Amino acid sequence: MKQILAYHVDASLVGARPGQGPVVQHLSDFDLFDGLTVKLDAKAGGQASIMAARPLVGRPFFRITHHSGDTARWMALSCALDLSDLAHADRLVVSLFASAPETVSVFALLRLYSADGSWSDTSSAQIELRRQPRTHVCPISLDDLPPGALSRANRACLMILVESRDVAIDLSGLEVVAVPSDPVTPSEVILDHLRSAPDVHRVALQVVPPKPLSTHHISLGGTFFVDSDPKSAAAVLTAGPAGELTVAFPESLESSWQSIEFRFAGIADSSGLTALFRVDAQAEYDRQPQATVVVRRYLPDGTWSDSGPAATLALTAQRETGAALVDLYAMLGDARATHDFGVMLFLPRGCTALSLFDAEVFVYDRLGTA
Amino acid sequence: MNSWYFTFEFPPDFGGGLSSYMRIIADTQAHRDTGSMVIFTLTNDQSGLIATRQLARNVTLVSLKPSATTEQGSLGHWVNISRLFERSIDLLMFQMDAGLLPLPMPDYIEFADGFGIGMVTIQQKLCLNSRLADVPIIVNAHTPTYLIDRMNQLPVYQLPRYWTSRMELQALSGADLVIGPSQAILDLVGTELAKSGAAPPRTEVLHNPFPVPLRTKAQVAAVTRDHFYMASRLTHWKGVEGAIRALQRIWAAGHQIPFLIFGEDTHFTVSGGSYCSYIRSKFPAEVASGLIRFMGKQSREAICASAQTAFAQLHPSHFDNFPYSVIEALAEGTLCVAGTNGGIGEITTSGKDIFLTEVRDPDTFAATLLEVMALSEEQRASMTEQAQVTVRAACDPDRYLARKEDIVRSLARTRARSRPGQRKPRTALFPFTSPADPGCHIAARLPEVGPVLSVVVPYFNMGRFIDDTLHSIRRSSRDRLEIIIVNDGSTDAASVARLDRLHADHGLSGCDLRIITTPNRGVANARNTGVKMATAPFVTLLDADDLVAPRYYDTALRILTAYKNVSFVGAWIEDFDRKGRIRNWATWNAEPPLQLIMNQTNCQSLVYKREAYLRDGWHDPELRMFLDDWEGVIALLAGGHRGVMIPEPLFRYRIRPGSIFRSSHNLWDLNYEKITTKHEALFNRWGADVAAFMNANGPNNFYHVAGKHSALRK
Repeated sequence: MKQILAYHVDASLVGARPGQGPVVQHLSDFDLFDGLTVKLDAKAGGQASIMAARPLVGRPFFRITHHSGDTARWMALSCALDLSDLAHADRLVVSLFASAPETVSVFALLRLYSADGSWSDTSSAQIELRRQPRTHVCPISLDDLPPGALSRANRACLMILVESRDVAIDLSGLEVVAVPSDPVTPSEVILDHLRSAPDVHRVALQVVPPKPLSTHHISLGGTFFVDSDPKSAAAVLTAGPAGELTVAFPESLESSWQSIEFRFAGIADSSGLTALFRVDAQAEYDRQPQATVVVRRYLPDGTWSDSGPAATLALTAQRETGAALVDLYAMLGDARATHDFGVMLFLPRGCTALSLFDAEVFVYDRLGTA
Repeated sequence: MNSWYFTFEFPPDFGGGLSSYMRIIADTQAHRDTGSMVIFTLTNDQSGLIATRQLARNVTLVSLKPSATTEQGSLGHWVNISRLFERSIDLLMFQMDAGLLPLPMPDYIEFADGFGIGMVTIQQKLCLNSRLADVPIIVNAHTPTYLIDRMNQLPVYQLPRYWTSRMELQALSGADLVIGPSQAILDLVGTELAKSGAAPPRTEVLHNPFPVPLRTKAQVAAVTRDHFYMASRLTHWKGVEGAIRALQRIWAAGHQIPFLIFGEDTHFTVSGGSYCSYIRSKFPAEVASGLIRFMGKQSREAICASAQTAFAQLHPSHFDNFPYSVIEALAEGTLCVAGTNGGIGEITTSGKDIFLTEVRDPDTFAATLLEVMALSEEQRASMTEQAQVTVRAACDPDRYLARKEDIVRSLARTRARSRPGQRKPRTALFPFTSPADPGCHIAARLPEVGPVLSVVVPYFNMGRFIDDTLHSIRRSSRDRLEIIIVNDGSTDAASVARLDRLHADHGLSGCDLRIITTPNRGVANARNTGVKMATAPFVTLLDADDLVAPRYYDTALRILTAYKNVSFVGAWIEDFDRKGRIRNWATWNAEPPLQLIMNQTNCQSLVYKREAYLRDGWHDPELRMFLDDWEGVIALLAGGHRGVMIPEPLFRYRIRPGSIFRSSHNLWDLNYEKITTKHEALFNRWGADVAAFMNANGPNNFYHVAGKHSALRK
């Protein structure tokens, strides 16, 4: 876990003795700390006053009192985040050291802005600040972001959104910790076992084309597929010098997706059905190289349906092994006793080439092959 | 144009007609070069309150999770959602104004009618929220859910279903524009609104959009047709039984043609089980012989494939606004048989592109089915080709959005004709669903001099709390207030002594604060005395331990001066104690019948036109300080007045263990009896509704929140 942000009201900001300082009025946005701005709804008449205070016992705090004027009913604490801090994060845990003399509802929101003017949000649930000063935790899941949002982002912003009712919040501090996904590192012993166990299904990258293949839908062995957006130029598969499979994706602003897929058929449903996705790879990219694992269900009527994202894998320019575990039971639905599905890795826009030295997906019952 | 749409169904989380409509609207906007669209929908499939993503360059999806709010438990499910949607509009507009979001202001906002999801937003606009003043709010009448419930034979007086029906009607009545996919639904909604005397809103018919791809004309081939089918959710109102009764005549004549029923099964209240099992039990022989076959929920592609050998798709609904299942079938080239009671006949012609028949008359229905069976393939092809032409012409999505935008522009032109720079409400009358008596229309203005509002504070031994109360009054954004404390013979020495210090301690002059001492005669007398002594044309009550938000009085006075048919104004309540907020309690416009059964107002702290209070709003001392404030509101309703509740918590009600309300519950039944006797004429007029409501929900001490179930379970 990595702390990526921390603001605290410290002793130097308030007087040395218990008590409260002068009240300062603000009719427009103002900085609470360097980098943390209080955003007011000034057009709707929103104003705020701020007072530094130190209780006899406990943390010093800023009392930010919102005045809602005509129709101003929100206030935000806003700060920028470093995108690189989010690259490997599964969740952000926002901790607010705060209280409110009269109850106030707040929630934390992560916003990713893209160069094309679009944005994506994910947020925590709403919580209440009450009289008792305490650490309030607002977890934000990055799973709720659309696939590829992080790779398309050029800046990120964290906001604490305060539903304001002419009330005050007493803020002592704000911290943000980025929580990475639990690493999946199966040992060689486990991998050997999975490769030979009779009740484990495996699709692996084994076939390397003798000469380059270029088409939007590439199939190797009927179980491994490479797909690229028909609006862009087709992906090109070649064999690399070390026997790796290299997939070159065209640079194209039109291209919105590109993927590799490992396909399975006739897999019996079970409550512990799990997939282990393992790649030994390196990638060329011009942005954050976070790839998303998605499960695609193939239905009897010929249609398909995607569930996910199930996991993320960080790809780097150095050759590395990465793995992800997927709860297939949760993704595949109740309708059928056996499933046809693909475990797919969606590669972010900006990933121009992927070299696969080894790649395999195992499907097994989670507790069945210990 | 830039538009914001609010829905409770969006693919892929939900199916159904509304979901189809939203998908088509979004796809159509995505292909446009100009304008933008933001779609707000609901989901449980995310961790947090809000998740936003781009569906296309110019289409944004905002997913909201109602259970991630702090108010789901206190407000009830659909009230919470309606408020969440209103809060989200406000939140986005704040972010746009603060430079946090690169989004243009909407040119219009559209709500689906179902569950009254637009009601809180529309109420905010009617309460003159300046944020919404220039944005037309449209309600699309897909079919109010309470009408569907009624057709499905569900008890519509049961809470919270009854409350969502009121919210639906209030939203329809208060919208700037109601769009109906058919004239049929607009006529039905108009009839419903007219039952309580509500003024009809502005309406326009816009048939739902549906894209029909151009197809090359296929060769007419011989086909062995072998079944009829229907494709709808299995509910009573979709008319499965009617179709079977008609088919029984066909089967009895020797035509053993199966009836395939595609669709998701649902619970049927009348039978207590699933609708499918109800049909099985009613027609066991036909089910056993395979003449009736339940196909379950299947994809449109599977149904279409099956339809290649069908005589026709049947759509025997008791009423259907503008069913997508019929439009889809017509667009795919499938012959349809539908009922005459609904909107599909507004774009089709029976015998030319569809068959329309009396689906509730088995003989007529059966005769139509025989007519269908007798068609040659050439006749069938001609009809299905014509159907595609019809749907393409009537339901073109680009023309749909363009037409809607023309209508929005005409709304804007109407608004612009009012005096520039002045934010006026849509009309000078608030659109109550049951209107005030015209004799209670009181045009009122703020006086040029003197106090604008008299705040009457009954006081009995409240020395511990009065300072907080005065402080909250002094924080009001409204100036020129006159505070009148009526000391109702306090016996506590400290409380009496406190009164002597109030002017000095709060910096109030003798004109700002008047203290009147009377012998102890109870809170009703104290309130009435204060109102009698008031000098302002508007009065408000405030108990000496309660608080008001700074914006309350100003907002209330703006409403009272804008609408001559509004006699009093209140707001949502925040219940609080020493630990902080206990909950928010939603109040609702004071109208019969529900106000006669359960108090839906902050009756202890309303803001009145003083003339209305003096005429009809006196509090009754005979009720011995219990339910007297509620009775005051009922008295106003009996006198023909109506009141508006601002849909946000601007009044704070202190919950104390020793308060009168908490210690006098034994008077509930006695005092309610007195109230109903005193206002016998009013209760008689609404007697049917009152009886049905109480039968469905129990005595009125079993429910307190309109958006939640009664605590009484039969």
